[in-house]
Amino acid sequence: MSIVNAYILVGAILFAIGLVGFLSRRNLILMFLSTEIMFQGVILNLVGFGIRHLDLKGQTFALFLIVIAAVEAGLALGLVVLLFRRQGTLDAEDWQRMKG
Amino acid sequence: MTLSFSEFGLLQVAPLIPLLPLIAAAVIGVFGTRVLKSASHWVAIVGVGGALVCSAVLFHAVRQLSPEQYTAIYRLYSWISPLPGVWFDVNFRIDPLTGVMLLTVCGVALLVTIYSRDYMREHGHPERGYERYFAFIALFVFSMCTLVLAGNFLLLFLGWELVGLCSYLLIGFYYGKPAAAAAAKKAFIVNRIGDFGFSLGVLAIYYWVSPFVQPGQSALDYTVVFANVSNLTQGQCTTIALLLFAGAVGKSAQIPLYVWLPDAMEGPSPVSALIHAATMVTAGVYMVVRCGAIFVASPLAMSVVAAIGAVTALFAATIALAQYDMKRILAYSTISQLGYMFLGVGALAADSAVFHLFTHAFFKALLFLGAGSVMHAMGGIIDVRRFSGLRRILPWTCATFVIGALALAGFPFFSGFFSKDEIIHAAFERHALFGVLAMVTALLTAFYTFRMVFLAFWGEQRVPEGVHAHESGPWMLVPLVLLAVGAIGAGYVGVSLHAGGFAGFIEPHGVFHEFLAPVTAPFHAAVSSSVHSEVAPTAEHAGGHTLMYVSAVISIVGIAFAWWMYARRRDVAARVAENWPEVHSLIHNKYYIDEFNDVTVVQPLWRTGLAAFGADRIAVDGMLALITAVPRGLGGLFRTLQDGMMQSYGVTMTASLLLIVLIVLLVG
Amino acid sequence: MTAAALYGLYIVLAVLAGGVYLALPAERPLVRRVWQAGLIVGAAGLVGLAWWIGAGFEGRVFFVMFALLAIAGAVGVVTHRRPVYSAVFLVLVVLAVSGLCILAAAEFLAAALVIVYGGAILVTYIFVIMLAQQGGEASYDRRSHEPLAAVIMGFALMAATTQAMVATDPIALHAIEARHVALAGADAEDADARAAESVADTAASPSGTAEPGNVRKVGAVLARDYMIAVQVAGLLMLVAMVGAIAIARKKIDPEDLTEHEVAQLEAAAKAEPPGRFVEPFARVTREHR
Repeated sequence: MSIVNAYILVGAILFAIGLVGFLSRRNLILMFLSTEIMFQGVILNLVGFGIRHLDLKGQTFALFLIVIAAVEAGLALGLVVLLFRRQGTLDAEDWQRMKG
Repeated sequence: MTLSFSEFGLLQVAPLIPLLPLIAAAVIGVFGTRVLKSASHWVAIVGVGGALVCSAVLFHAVRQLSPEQYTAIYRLYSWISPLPGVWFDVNFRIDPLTGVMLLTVCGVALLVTIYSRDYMREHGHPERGYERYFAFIALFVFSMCTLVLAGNFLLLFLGWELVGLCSYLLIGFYYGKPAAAAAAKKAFIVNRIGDFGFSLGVLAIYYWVSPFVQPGQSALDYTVVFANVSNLTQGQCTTIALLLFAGAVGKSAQIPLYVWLPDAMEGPSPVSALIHAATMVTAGVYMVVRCGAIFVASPLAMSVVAAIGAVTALFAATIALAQYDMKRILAYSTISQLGYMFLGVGALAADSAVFHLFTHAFFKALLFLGAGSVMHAMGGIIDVRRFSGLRRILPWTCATFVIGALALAGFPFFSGFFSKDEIIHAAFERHALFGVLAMVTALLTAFYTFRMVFLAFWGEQRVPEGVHAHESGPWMLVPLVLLAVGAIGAGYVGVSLHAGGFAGFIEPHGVFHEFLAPVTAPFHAAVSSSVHSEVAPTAEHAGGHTLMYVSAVISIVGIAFAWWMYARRRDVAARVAENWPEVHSLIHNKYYIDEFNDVTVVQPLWRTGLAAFGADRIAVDGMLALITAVPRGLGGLFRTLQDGMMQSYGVTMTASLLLIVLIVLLVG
Repeated sequence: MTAAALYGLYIVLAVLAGGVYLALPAERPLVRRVWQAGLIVGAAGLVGLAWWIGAGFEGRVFFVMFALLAIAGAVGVVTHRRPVYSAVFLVLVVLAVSGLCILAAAEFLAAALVIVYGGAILVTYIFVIMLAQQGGEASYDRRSHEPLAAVIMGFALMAATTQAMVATDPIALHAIEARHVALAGADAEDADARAAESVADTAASPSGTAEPGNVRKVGAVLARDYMIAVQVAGLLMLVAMVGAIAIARKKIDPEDLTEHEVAQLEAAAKAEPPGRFVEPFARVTREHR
């Protein structure tokens, strides 16, 4: 198995685990934490592709991805704070008004 | 026979005759309840009076027409054109029969309208629905005039249905009373049965006549149809005649469709006088006379007409013997007299039938209006067992009522005598059995009429409790008097003064019959070609005067017998009823015909209707519910996916992504 | 990759999935859960990944180590019941991933990861967790929402994408590789060897040799080829900052308050002098002018 495949596989596993966390944790903050794991997986993927093509495009893309992740984290936490203020709890199951 | 516009002259008043009452009805309908209120009767009087004036003018103009060109066709406008080359007009046929009928209709209608002004009031205040009443009366006059003036079968059918509608509206005038509402429904439905046959007849005419129609002619015009009767086979003529007669049976209350007329007495008395004595019920007779060409071509149809007429006359007369409601007695009397008219037509004496129609209009309307006057005085009670001896309290009513009764009973020198006698003559010439039936009926007619008179007006004076009986006002009495004059004098237009006739100076067949001769020509032709007649139609009845004396005697005997039973010794009637209770109850209950109809016809239809309703509810609604349940079920199914949790939506999104990836992997 | 290897991969992934499922918070007896989770996850990861780094390259050990750390840390983040521990596990993941990046000769990326992620993002997360959830465990951390569906979906997707990425169709793979090789101007078969070489070079050579280091190279690329992207990224961060402030600004509409809350506000305003510690993120807060 080539190194590229290895990086891709590990990246995929991280992404999957992050997805599982996002879909199953009820704590709002932990949901966003899981998205950070998914970002890590993507970064690994990009690095792998960078190895594949032997140029710096992968890494550069990953750098910009970090920027995006940071921005997203900031805004997500702002929203979480808002939601927490409304409901008094971080429970995602409290937000079921669109049920049915 | 169609005159040009310039030759029309006075005949141009023809459209006004139906139009004026229609406008009156519309005006009362729109403005009646708010503006006119208690003055509504003036609009109706003006409308109907205007129609009467125009009818008189028309009559005068018709008299100017020459015998060769006795019909004028006045075409108003082209009405319906369902197919290219096929069209129907609104056209009027103006001939002597039309003239006579219009005068009768409008004259009686005007007198009834004037009478209604007081009848529809209680102590001077108009009843509830006063304006509606006059609007309907005007609408009825419009409908009847349309029927009479119609120049083709389609317009005739329109008028036919409209008079049925007005009858329904007026019978059910007191719609809050269940009996009145039921009577109106019954009248309309029974009429409908007859009208079904009538419409089939019109369709048959169209179907069988249209092959012979020239371009530029309409297949349902009277002129076209009557000209083409010779092109039809006898079977076709019989079918058409019987189908048309079915409509007449319904409209003119013959067996078996007479059951609505006695119930129709729930309407106000003027309505009974106008619609169910003088005009609407005579539409059937008018139609049969009008279509004489078709009927004469089918001897079978003529026999049927005569037979039904004769049987109905006798049947209804027997029922009238044991009724106690004055208006019911008069209703059965009307049925019986209509039977006489049909008997006359069937016996090929159409002019006699129309003459009887003419005189009957006067005295029957008079009798009904008189009964209305009694009812008004008795506070709404018309059962003769509840009052008697009214001749001193209501002198004018009594006098005019007796005059009408004498005319109905066929007392000599009154109008009814002359007209009824002619029919008896014609009946005998047709078949001896018919003649005997007619004479027996005449005897019964005289008897029950005066039974009613003596029960109500003779004897000790008693009125129902709490009723303050007084004579009616001039608005009601003047029409009564005018009709009484007509009841006596109308007969004399149908006889001619001739030395050597009945009572020395009277000879049957007068100006009336001469006037109608061109219209009833088919009947005369049939008479002269039949083997029964040995004398020419308009010739004197060589041995016929005997019959006139005989019928005079019959009438006097009937009156005398009634006098003895009801004026002198009242206990006889009670003893008769005791000794033959079954017979009495059978007759009193109208031979249980209504109950029979109910069981055989009404109940099965009702059950069928209920079954259809149930089927609709179960089948149709059930299917609908089933169809709507499917989306609802599917929606409920999909709704479980929406649990409001964003993570479940994430799961669904991931699943979709998975699906796409799989598709790309396996296919792409 | 051969078919057998692929199926083996799937089995390992299934085992890993089972382990993650069992590890997710649920109302189950503690002891059994820990045992099962730890054992299964560890064994699966170890066995699977160690086997497949078959065609060895220098630094294979490091790769396996860092990869295992990353995966274990990820599982820890996702399954731990206490949020603070999850955040700390995420730091472990970041460190492991940055190690993997160094192995791939992406030093600047590794450093950036540690600084930005570990130093800024996760700190912020921990702040928020601590402020919002001062207790350790809350009720909503004890039970997961549909763990089975989540696990199945996640790992199925991963299997599918892995299958796509390491497809066993040699023709397609070679076609893709040939096209890229033509574009890159290098030979296909040499790619792996050269990659391994560069990795080995990085591992072996000290910093500051004649060839420019990774930082210099990345900086040159950013300044030359992606200048606009850098500016846009900066603008994006500015907008996000403003947006975050706008979203999370404390603003209370007076109409939203109930009577009880209004009375509470007034009582609080009267009772407490300014400067005193006020509980943040509480449901009713004072309006800051």
